[in-house]
Amino acid sequence: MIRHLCKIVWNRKRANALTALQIFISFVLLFVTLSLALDKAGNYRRPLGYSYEDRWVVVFHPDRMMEPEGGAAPVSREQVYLALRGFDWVESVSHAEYMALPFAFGLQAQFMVDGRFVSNGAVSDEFHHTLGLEVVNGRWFGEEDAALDWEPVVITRPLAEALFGGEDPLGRRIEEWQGFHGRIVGVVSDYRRSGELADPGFFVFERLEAEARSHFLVRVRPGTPLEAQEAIDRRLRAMAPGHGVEITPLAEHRAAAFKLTLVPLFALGVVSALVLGMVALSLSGVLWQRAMLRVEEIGLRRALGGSAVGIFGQLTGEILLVASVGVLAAVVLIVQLPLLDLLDYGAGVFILSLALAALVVYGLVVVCSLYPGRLACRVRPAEALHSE
Amino acid sequence: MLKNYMKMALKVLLRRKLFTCISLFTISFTLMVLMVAASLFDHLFGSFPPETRSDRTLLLSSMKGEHDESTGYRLQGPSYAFLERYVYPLAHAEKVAVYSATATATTFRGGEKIESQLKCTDGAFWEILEFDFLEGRPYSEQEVEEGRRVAVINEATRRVFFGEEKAVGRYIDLKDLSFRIVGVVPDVPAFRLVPFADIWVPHSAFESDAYRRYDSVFGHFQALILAPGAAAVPLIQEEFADVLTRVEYPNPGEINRLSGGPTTLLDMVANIVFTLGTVTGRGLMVLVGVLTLLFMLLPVVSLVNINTTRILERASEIGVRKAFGGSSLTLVGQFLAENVILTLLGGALGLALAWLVLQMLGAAAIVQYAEFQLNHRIFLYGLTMTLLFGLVSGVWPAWKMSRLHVVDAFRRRKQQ
Repeated sequence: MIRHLCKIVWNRKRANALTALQIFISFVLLFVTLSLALDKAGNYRRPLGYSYEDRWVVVFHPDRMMEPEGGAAPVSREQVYLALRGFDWVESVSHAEYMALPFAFGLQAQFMVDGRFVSNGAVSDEFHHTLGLEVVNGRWFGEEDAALDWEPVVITRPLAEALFGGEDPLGRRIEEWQGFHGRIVGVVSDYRRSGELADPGFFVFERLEAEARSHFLVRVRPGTPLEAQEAIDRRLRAMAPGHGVEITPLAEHRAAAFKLTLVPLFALGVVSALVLGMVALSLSGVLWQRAMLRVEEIGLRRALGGSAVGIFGQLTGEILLVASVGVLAAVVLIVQLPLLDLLDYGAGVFILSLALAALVVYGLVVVCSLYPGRLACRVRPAEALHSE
Repeated sequence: MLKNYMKMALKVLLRRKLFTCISLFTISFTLMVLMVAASLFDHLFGSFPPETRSDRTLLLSSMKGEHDESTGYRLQGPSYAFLERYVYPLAHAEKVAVYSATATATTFRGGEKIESQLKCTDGAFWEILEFDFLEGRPYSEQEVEEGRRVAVINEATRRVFFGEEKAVGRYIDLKDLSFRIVGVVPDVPAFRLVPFADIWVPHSAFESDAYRRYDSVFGHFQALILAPGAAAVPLIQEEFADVLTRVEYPNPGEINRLSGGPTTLLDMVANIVFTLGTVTGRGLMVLVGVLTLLFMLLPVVSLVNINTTRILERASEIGVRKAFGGSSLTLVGQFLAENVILTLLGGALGLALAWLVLQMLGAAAIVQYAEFQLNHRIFLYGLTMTLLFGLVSGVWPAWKMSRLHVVDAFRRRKQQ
């Protein structure tokens, strides 16, 4: 039966090649969209490693707005701490280098692991508490680290696994980082700096020395009103008149990061869906036309006792065979990508995307062949043979 | 002749409404996507006021700093002091403007938080970029040198702070300092990275002048370099590369090698898109072109598939024409003309759809102050794409039709 179908398909190879090409392109497009979406969805379900609710970033511009990232604050760190802790809705305050804060924009990287950049940034001793980082191995920084003659660092668990596999990372050096002489003292569960849609965090926390920096992270009580921002703004500006203060809840940064990732993905999804609709329409049109052209053949078969179901099966089988050629070609092409190291999705996302794309494409083909197939089955032998 | 083809095309269109709908949907949807994409691209890179001379304007927005003994690097904008030393004096440049990255200025008014994007610029900024002023004027180089507290605001800021009233001559408070408004300009969409801001002030207007100290090559400034002509662009790039070899580093223990240089906006975006790759703007254009062709491939295949199948409907007509001596060429011409007419119809529909989608995008406010309009460039591009689409999707079916044998055509039999 299959051999027979193959023969029929082969006999009309040119017309079928076009359909197979259509299926091939649709499959590739579907795979790209699905794998991107599934990758992001997988990331979304992973724990973030910290909490963004009720956390505010307070920037005390040292030099007005000229140097938003670096430089010294106009007043000492202790003074800012004192001022911020003076508000009874502030639970915890710490400070950090800009590049260490969640949703920081830009790239600062010292080395690469598994083809990904590893970011680093310095934070103060209370940072893990303020942000809600979870130390799963070893310890966080403390006052006692000031006396060390080497630099302690805390890394994320995904990075520890990538660097050392199953071995204990505590006390180890990071060989990949040239010119760095620190040792790992602790591991946090994760730190996905760019938010829930980002890949597992590859991050190295360094200990911020006592010098004053401009960026502070404040953890406030849940339900703190907007007026509190104005109060901080007023208090800090009173400490150093004329200096700029900027307060942004992390939730706002998160919303912006979400939009940045989701808007292009959404656009791709809409375009893919419409393109698939287009393919479905043209496919049903073509199948219908072809079924009409084969009226005589079908009539003859019906007259000789062929069942309606059998004819329907044959027509569907033919188009499924053609679709398989397209799908097979696309799968062969796509499987090359991870082999060439061009894709870094996990095996799960990769296989699931392939399976889902195949499911959708085959489903589409079957749905498109339903109506033309039904028409073909209802051809009455007498009429069909009469036209001859 | 053409009139006949047109009549014929319309008759054929009306004969099988389902097929016509499918074809029209395919064509109009494809052209809509292409036109929307082209419009977005045009709004990002095209010459729109205030960026009217993009072909000879170079941008120095970031440099890569490295150290000989480290694998790490830093990618950031230059500092004001670096630009003052090494970019202002560039001999081949006609004009150099320096401006800061945007920073947020927060104002609280009656319990409401107003966030404005602030850019600190010099006077030349207003000469290289050609803003239309709704009110007043830009501030001059002299006012920048004197450290005057003057500001240019955009329309949205005027509305927030002053309602519908005139703003020039009034004062706006930024970071505890009071600035006199000298000009009002139309809103610039946030994706025009260079001119975008809500409020522009002289970089010298704040009391501190720490940014003038040469502590680091990196900072939060960018430079805009106007070349005397498009031909001078590579000269400026060469000159800057030469300057980089002679840079004195303020802290050579951290960074002692710089790379990168002024590029066109397109090159800069290509660099961002391909994260530090060596891809230039031309490479980006090629990529966009290839993606466009790939995107068009599927609809073209769909249309060819449908067209080849549909020809068989007209087998008897073709048979008659051939029997009376119609040449293959005439038949091909006729079919192509019909197909192009159908495509033009779809193109018009696509244009309308593109307009609708762009309105929706603008209303969704995905990008601040973005307003997308169709202009003659997009229209011409759309027309070209439509004709190309019509020809490409018509050639193969037409050729196939012309080869139909008279006898077969009369028998309405398909010979595959």
